[in-house]
Amino acid sequence: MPTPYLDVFVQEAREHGATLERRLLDLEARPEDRQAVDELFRAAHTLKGMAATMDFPRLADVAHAMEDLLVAIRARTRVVDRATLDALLAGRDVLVAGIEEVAAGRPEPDAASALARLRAPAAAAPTAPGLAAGAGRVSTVRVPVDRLDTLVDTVGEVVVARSRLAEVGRAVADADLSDALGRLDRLTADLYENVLRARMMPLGVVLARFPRMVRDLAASLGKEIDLVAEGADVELDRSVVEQLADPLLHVLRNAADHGIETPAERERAGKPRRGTIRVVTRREQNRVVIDVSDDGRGIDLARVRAKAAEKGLVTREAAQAMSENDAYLLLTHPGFSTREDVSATSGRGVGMDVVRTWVESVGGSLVVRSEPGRGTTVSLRVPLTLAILQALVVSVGAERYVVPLDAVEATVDLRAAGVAEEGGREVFRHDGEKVPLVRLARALEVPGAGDGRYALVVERHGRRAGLAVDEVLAKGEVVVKPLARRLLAPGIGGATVLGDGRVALVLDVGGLFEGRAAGRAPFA
Amino acid sequence: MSEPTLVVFRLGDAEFGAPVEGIREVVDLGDVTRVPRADADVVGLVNLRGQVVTVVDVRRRLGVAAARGPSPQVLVLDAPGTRMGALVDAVVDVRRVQEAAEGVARVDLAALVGPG
Repeated sequence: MPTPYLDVFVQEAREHGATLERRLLDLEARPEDRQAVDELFRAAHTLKGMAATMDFPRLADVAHAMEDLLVAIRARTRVVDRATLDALLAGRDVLVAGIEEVAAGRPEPDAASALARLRAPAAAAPTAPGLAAGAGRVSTVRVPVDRLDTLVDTVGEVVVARSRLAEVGRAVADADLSDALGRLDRLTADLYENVLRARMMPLGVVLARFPRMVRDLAASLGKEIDLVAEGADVELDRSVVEQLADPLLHVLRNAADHGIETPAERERAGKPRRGTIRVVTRREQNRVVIDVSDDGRGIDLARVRAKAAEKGLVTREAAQAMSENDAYLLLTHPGFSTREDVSATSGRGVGMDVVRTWVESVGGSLVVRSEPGRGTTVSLRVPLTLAILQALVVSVGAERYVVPLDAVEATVDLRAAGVAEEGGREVFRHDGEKVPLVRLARALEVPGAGDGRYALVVERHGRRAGLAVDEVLAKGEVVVKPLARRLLAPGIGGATVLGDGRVALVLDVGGLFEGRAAGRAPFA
Repeated sequence: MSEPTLVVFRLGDAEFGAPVEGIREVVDLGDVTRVPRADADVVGLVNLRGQVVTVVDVRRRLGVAAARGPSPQVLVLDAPGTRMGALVDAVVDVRRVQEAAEGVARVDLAALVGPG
């Protein structure tokens, strides 16, 4: 079978595998969940057909046997008891593993024992499966993801070109032209939104892999944990969904490992033996907020402050003066957890620095709230898409850089504000506060550049800094392109093509701070 | 496989050949954007019809001491990941390897340039 077909098969089959994974756990929790049965049936039915077409008879047989069993459940000739669930889970395991085997070019796995379990009590016979599959029909076309990516990229460029055109239009100041531009403006905005929507997928695709993980983790930790997901149908751009898996995994592990107590501890504290981790997703304008809450022991903030000072991450005074959220975020400092603190699964901090770095690199934010004895909530606020960014274009010497607008609080004329030296660092006054100055010309080693006349006041996790630039050239939308990994340095997040066709780097404000905090860079 | 076709390019006085399959296109080096703190081999970023290409100078890896030529070209590689390109002094020819003159060393550009 030619590989292009295999790729498509594997891609689709994985999605159906994820549905099986998710819906079986739903069925386990609620044996009466008819919707789960319907979806499971559809997934098994589709997989059966796909596997048969691709000439994977064992996978097709297993999917078929699952389908038969689900038909029986639907016809209520079979109840969802432990044996039924176990049989379905066994079938699911063979399918999920089998997909990966054939994807890697290996033979199909042995299916005999799963088949035996699925067929074992041989309850009622299959009816007419085709009918039900057509019931909730949606007209859908499958489009390869890279074709969609190209479409999103191109429309992104159109959006940028439109901004450039609008600038020119303003300079010309012609009524007809400005009418036409206004119309073009609305149309491109619509176009972009619709194209992006075509690439959106529900967060549930990622969440589907977690129930199993949490269940296994709970078992290995000797804990009892329920994972509850709400809003799994909230849709985000594929670029975000794919990248969310890792950070969410770290947050969930932390919750299971450090948040939720053992059943004995929980009983002593007067809590139910079973702990709960809730993943609640909701959309807020062009952002998505994912709250991961546990009802565990919470975080002892006083200890966090003390430990951070002990480890020399901050001074004792700074640790005490820090806002609560900033103090929680100390946990995400790469130096916070040391090897001794790290349990088999995770340290509170290890992994959390990955989470924060990622969230901030995509222009999002991380908020931690906790109540000792009651639990902890980690909130990830991320943009709906990573493709387009509101940004300022600034010049530093002969070079131009792009700064994400959401990080910028204000622009300050440094000649008016006055720059003073304090403890070997340059600071200026803004809003009644002394703000450290980062000379981008120096930080980015721009050849032949002066000191910079303006400062962009930027804020990340409660810390402010001023980025000294020569000029603020433009404000607008840019399409962010990923940068080759080897080029990523603290402070540099991506690249974009500006209106005149030249490439500019997109600065990662959080990274500029990190570079400084770790003492790696001459940023302040 | 017999006689793969090579793109023959020049760096200083030396000629090298890279299989044509791995090369997406050849463009003149236009405006380059410098990348702070990148390896010395990284020339910078160029715009290829809206795509960002990382251009790498392979002369050091190939042991070429001569300075860059006056009108360098970029061999844009056809590889997964972010787009990468190799800076050369000039593309000389595209020819079958059997006919390739003595002294044309075959190189694996993707390996020289590194992953995207």
